[in-house]
Amino acid sequence: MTGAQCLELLRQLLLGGVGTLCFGVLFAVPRRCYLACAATGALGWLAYELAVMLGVGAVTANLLAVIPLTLLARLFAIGLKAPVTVFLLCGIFPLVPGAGIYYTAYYFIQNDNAQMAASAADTLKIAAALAIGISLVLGLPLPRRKGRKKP
Amino acid sequence: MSDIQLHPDGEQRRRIMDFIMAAGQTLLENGAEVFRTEQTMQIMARSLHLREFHVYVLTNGIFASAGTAEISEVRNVPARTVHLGRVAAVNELSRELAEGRAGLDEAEVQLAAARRIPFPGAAAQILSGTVGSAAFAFMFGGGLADAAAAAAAGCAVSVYLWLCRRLPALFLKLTGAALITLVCILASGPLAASVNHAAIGALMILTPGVAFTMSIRDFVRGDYLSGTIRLIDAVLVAACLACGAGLVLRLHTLLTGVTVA
Repeated sequence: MTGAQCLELLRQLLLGGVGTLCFGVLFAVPRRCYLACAATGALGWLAYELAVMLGVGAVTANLLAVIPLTLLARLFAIGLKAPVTVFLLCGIFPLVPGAGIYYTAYYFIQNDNAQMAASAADTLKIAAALAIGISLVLGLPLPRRKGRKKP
Repeated sequence: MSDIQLHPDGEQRRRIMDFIMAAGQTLLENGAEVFRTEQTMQIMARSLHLREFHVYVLTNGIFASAGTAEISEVRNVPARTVHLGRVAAVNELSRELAEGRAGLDEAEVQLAAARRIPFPGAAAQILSGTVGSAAFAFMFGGGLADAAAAAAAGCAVSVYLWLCRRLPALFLKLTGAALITLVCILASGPLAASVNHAAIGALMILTPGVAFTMSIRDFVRGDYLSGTIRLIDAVLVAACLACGAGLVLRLHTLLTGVTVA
């Protein structure tokens, strides 16, 4: 990997963190969770960009990115004693095809059926990849520590 | 000291039921998923010794009964915002109840406080809308000029959302998307930015990412009905955004004869 690529990845890592943090503020995440939210989003986006840089398709890249992201969200949830939703909902925001679903609707009203079908299929595939990734990681049983803990 | 009774009488049971329903409503209103709402309500019922507690939660309603159906309650939860701080607070409360660190009186006070946790102030929301738009414009492959245009649009739409926060959500989304597109078209001239890259960055504030994520998670958990409700919500919001953005782009083409790229 060249230096320029490393620099680009670093830039994307920062951008992912900043973007996620901004949405964390908009979703009124508790203050003590700000940094953890940013880290979750940054890691997910970094993994996605890395996978794309290595030549993986967008759908697989989403799957590869959501697994470390959800894992980190779970770790933060245990460490900071907050529901996993707090970290997952913010952290996954860069990956979730909110833009894809918008483009689908946009091409629909523009009467561009070919483009609409393409972005609808992409959106659906990415959604499926995210669903598989999330359920894989959230389904992992965690070793129980002393006391009752919720995942 | 904990005032949890092992065998609550009729009056007490009714009070516990009201408390659990209010907690469930708070979770659901503020962006917790269906599964977590059900689970938290059941944990609370167990901690407060409310026997034979059964609950069924949908995206927009809670149905629960306790005892041999001597108490049953239904709550309609139409309002949906995302306030994860309140979700975290109720979660913390449920943990305290389960560990016996809080009694019913204390829990009721804490729940009332959790429901009143405010949103971040106007300045914080506008700032994060502006910075977030710019960051997403960069992330989706835009350059510096695109990010600057996105920041302007994000700032404008955050102010608009704040000023008109009492208006219906779908109307806000439609007009907000129109506003974003308008600002991006206006700003892209002097900044030499690409309207598409700038607009999608700012539109991320309005895109139904949360509804879509929740829909996926509901489907994964097997709550197909709730997942469908959220999915329809996401599709409708996206359609509103597309209509708003499309209208402005079409008008611009009609007025100037230039198709925006």
